[in-house]
Amino acid sequence: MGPLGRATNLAVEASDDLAEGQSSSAVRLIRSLAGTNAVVCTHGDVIAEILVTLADEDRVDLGLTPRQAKGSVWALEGKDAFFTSARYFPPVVAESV
Amino acid sequence: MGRQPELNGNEARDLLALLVQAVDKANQGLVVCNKKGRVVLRNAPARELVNARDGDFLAEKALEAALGRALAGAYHEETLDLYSPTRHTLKIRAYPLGGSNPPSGAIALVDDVSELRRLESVRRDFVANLSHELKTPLGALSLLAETLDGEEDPDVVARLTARVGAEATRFSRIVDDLLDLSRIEAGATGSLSAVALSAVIDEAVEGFQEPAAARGIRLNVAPASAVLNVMANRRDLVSAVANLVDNAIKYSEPGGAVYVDADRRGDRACLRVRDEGVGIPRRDQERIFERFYRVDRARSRWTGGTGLGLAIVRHVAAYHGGDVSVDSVEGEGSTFTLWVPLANQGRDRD
Repeated sequence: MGPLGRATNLAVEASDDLAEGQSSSAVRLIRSLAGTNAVVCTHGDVIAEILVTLADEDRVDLGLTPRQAKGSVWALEGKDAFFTSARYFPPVVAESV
Repeated sequence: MGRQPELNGNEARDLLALLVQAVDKANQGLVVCNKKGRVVLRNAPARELVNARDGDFLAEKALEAALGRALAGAYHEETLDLYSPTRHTLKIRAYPLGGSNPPSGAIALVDDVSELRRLESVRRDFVANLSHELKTPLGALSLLAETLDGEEDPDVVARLTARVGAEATRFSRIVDDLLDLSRIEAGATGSLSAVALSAVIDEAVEGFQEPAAARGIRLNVAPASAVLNVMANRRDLVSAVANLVDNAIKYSEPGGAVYVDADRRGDRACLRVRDEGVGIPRRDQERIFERFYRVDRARSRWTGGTGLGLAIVRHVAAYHGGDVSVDSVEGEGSTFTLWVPLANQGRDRD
């Protein structure tokens, strides 16, 4: 998150809610960010839990075989603590110079 | 083909009267006009479908237009939605009669397709809900598998593996409930026989004493006041009662209680499952028996519900010739009442 923070001139904030095994608090945090512009980085198992929760509770369509390769991004859209869509971006492979 | 015998005037009138009576018996509305567009025959269903509604003006105009187009030599078909007093959908099809250049008349057929439309809508909703409900645990498995791949931390692996197991169980429960529902809806339920309701209740609550106790919830089963034998498919009735008890426990808070009791009301047995849990908002009470309808999706996910349990209960009640109802106050609890016809009423009187 450091390079992104520097590139956008935004501070990076650490949160215990995104720690490994903290899926419930992670979902709460993500819901509190619905409708805002925010970038969140956490562990794979937490991301899986967040996505499955949103698919279940908000009926967000993740596709038939959703993926989450390391370094990939999910863009979530919604507002008022409720999400309506999710889109997957595969990891960007750095070109060798 | 034999040649039609010539009819005299009386015979022709009798035959015409017979034909008019015959078309009156059809389920379909039928209107015939001559080449000038004058209606010469309108059977009883057509009179009922078109004239008996507040929206009859629109229907009559649509029918006239359809016959007009058929008189111009073309087949015409249209679907008409009428909203007064309740929504009804009529399908009108009109054909030229006696050749198309020019036709010697036209016929319009009118069908009330309201129920068909409703069923199509229910089926579309069900398929959409079903695909979502099946995709969610499958998607979870896909995500978890990719996360597990290459994970070395044993704690994380253990947690993810447990989640894989939970999602697989959830998928399996949905499929099991769907198969049950499908079997019950298709009427493939076998014959009904006299079954002691107390035995059904005992079997239904048997597996719930431990999980209820583990959550600090008391499960109280009142002894039946009299022998109540009901006409039932034992397996399905046990499943229905178990679904009600399971829900009551899931939607109770620790320290609460669930009560199961049964008694006789006229020629039916009345079985109640009461909890002191979160209750059901009034706006949701009519919909909770629909397939995949959930009042609280977050809680349902946590409790492992499939969204099909109450739909199964409703279908089981219906094919037993019984009923199920709910009485609930948000924050105070819910009482589900299952009505089932008694067997051998004479012997079972207390």
